[in-house]
Amino acid sequence: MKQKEIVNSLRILKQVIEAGFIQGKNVFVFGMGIPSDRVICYLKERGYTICGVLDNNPENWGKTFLGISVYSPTKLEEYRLNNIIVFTYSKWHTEMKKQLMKIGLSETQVICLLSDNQLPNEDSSFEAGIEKMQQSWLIYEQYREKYGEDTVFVVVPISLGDIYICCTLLDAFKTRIQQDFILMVHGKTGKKVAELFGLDNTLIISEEHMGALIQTVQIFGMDATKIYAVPVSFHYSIIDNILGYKGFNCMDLFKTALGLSAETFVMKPTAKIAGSKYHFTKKDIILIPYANSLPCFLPSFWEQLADRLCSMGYRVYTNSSNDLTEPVIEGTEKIFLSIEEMYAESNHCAGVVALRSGLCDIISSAQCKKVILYPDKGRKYGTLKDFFSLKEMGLCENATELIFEEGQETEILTDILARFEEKVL
Amino acid sequence: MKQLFYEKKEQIERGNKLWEKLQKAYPQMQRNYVFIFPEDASETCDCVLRLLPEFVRCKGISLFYVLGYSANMLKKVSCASAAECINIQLTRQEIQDIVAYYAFHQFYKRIVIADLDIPNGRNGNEIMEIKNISLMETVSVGILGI
Repeated sequence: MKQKEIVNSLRILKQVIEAGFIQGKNVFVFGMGIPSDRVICYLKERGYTICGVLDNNPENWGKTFLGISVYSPTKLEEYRLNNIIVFTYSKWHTEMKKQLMKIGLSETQVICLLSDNQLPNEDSSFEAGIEKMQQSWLIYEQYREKYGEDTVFVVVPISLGDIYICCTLLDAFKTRIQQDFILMVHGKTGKKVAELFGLDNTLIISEEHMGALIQTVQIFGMDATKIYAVPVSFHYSIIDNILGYKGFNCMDLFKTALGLSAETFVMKPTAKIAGSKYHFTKKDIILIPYANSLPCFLPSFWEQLADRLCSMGYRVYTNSSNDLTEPVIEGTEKIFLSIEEMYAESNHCAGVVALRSGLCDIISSAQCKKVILYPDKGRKYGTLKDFFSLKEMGLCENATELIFEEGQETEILTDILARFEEKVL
Repeated sequence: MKQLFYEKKEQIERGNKLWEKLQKAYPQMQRNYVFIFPEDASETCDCVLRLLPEFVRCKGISLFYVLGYSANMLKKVSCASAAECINIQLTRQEIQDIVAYYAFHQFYKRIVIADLDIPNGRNGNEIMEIKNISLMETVSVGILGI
């Protein structure tokens, strides 16, 4: 989920609270993703009690999410139905609302934390699809006219980590296709990541154009369009089912999409590391507790960690881009590093402790100590850690990678602190 | 460039009409799995046939539909499992039209396309090379999801 979408959801939540909608109600949150995590933290911080997290996946029932029990939606039947409020944030809001209304809730008791433009367009007719395909093709034609019939386009959607991983393979990709290509990314951040690898063939395109090019390759195929959309999975792809099987990880996914072999050399960034702009030394530790694609952990875990690290003599910082969605951990100082700063500064500080996000890819080549935390989530084959491990992907050798299980916070803290136990001078 | 677009558009439109025609002719199709065989006599097809009994068992299927252009292939599918199989023989062009329509829009969720690289971009062959995943495994895990 994009940062601005999380901000938007929390703003809607704030309005709902101010309007007095949840006062005295039994509050539930539907879903275990983002921004469920931020909604729960936001409500808890303001003293509200959350009765439960609802989820349709039976494997999650009985587990806890940020300390809140996870239930089947039918759990609501045990409560006085007219005193319930459920927050949803999914693009499947309409379906969720219908499901909850079948249980007996009224329409106004199910509050969507997405704005209208984040919900899917209802016009799914064949004619509308053809019209959209035509528009996408026109956009594709514009790029073809500008860059020529034979130019290869590598299109990487928004995610920071995806762009980083893709860049580690582009040298090998160029050798394979034996011609130049244009890397297309959305937003300046993507271009900055490419610059870390010395790539100067990057084109920033709009989100609309990104979607149009992806739709074009989906319909017309890679061979006809000369577009490599990575790591995009279409409804007809088989890669989604393969993920995790025999250790098939995120890097393998990129190699497959770019037609590269298993042995392909994973390139490290080539950008020079300047002196520390923030005067970081081996006494400084950066916490990265937030990600845009994985739910966060309870702030109390990070607070305990910061407290212990401070008592060991470290100065601890929270990397936070936004006070509303990424509150600074108590006992730490706020810092917000740009991509190139994060890449450079992580070489000067003592270490980084991070929830797995794209920033972990950025710091993967840094010399500091790196502790990467993965939520305890799995797919049919393997865990998130199996799939995104920096070490398994060949991005670094010296990271400590831990699975964060709720209820095991003390053990995880001990593991992390052991990495930083050398006395700080 | 324009030619490519219009050809694909026409193909998708033909695929759409054909699918609607099939829905009318076989009303039960909307509640059952539909297998599409875009190629005849490939190794992938053989793997699908060998795994069909397991697929039928896992999904609890008693009836499924098969779209193919080769009478020989359709016959083989019929004999491959205990479930009832309704064969629909189309032309090769019609199969391509349906696949083009499917790449354009997922009009039905219970469709299984018995091929590693069709629609273009499935990258089945590349997947096998990365982690020494066998063809049988790619078909089983990747295509059939069992």
